[in-house]
Amino acid sequence: MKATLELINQMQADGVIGKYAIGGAVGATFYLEPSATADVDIFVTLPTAPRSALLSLGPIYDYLTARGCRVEGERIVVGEWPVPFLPPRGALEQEALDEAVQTDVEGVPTWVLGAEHLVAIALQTGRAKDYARIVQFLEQHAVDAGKLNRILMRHGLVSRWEKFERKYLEE
Amino acid sequence: MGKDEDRERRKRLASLPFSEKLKIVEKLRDRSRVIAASGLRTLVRRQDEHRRQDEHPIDDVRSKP
Repeated sequence: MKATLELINQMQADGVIGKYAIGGAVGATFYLEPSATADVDIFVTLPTAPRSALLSLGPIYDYLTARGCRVEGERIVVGEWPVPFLPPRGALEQEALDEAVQTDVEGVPTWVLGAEHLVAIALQTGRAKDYARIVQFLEQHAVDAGKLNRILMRHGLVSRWEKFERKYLEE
Repeated sequence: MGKDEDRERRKRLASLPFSEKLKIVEKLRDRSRVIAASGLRTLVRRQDEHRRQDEHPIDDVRSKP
């Protein structure tokens, strides 16, 4: 992981990407017990090309393949980890990225999405494994309920949360 | 392992430093890769399919084009 993050940090320093933060299962591991995963989700801000509103992952792929990384489907293998680079798909993910928490991995600085944002994104994504992760966060008291509630209200996720509660927490 | 023991184990693992936890995640990933490369998952899937066919032979015939 150290090598992966060092290369991503270098890419950031070289201006290919803006702010980034780890999400998904690896991001959740910052708060919970370790769990198996095949890749590292990296939420990333991309600089837009001049006179264009379109975002492209092309510069990331060009930068990394020039440094020996190989493309594997929609991911690129950086160090030993396949990495999907995920530009924020909406206001929730943008806010999560803006408010990411700084930490380090073996001395390499990095950012991780906040626990409450990870839970809200998991709720929005809505696969079985996302719901299982939310349950883990709740069981381990790893979220601030007030903060989570404010995020859910801001992003119109309250009714979805109520459905989730009825299905997974009240049985 | 009882529920309380399991909860304690998970709590202890969650309290490890992030770098330590990532080393465990990497070990889990490597183990999954070894299992995937060995074809064990495919074997288990095939055994499951055979078992289903044995248990529901009519469904199987109907599902064939």
